[in-house]
Amino acid sequence: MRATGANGMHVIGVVSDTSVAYQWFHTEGETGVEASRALVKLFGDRSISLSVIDLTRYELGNVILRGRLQATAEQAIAIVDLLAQMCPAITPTATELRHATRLAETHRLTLYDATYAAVARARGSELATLDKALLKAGLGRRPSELVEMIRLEAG
Amino acid sequence: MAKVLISLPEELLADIDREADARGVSRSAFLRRAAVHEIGWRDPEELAATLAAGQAILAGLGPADAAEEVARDRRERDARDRRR
Repeated sequence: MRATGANGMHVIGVVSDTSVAYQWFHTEGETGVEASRALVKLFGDRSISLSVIDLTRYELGNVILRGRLQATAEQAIAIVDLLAQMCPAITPTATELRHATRLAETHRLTLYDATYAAVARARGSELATLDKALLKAGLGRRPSELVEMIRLEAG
Repeated sequence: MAKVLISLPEELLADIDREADARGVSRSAFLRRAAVHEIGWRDPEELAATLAAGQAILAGLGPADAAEEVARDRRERDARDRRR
């Protein structure tokens, strides 16, 4: 998705996977949080457009509540609310879900993984992800790679 | 800054004023923020504050690996879906 940036210029669209959104808020034990957070900074500068998908709210809430962090419900609610303030959440269209299903079959991904890739592709955006399966399938890029690419493009 | 004249239903204006009061901002500031959000942008200071607030909430909960946490969650959901 190429949105219009600060100077009326078109900017690169980035769809963020839950793994990247998780690093916006969590630090301890993580690798590469700087790049994940640099995407937010670039969004604030209007150098990129940034979005998640509606599924991200559920995934982020679930992994914080039921994953290793074992956060309380109140903590998970607060994080999901903050995510909603961070950037728009895309609701995948029926066409994107069909495309996601085909990608899931072709690349042997879960439909959850594939939906992020399908949404990013359909909207001409880059997918920022730390998911090994998506990266291996060539359907997304690490935040560090995207940040470098965006900075190079900006000159 | 440009000044504009817009038409709004009375009830909506009352809602806007109530919400702006609750947030301690002016009507203009509230409407600017709403418009920026609707277009899909966010204020840099607001983003920085949101990040800091989230990091404070999760600080001290211990180490985790985002990629592994999310991948495991999706594998588990996928496995449940297959059993249905």
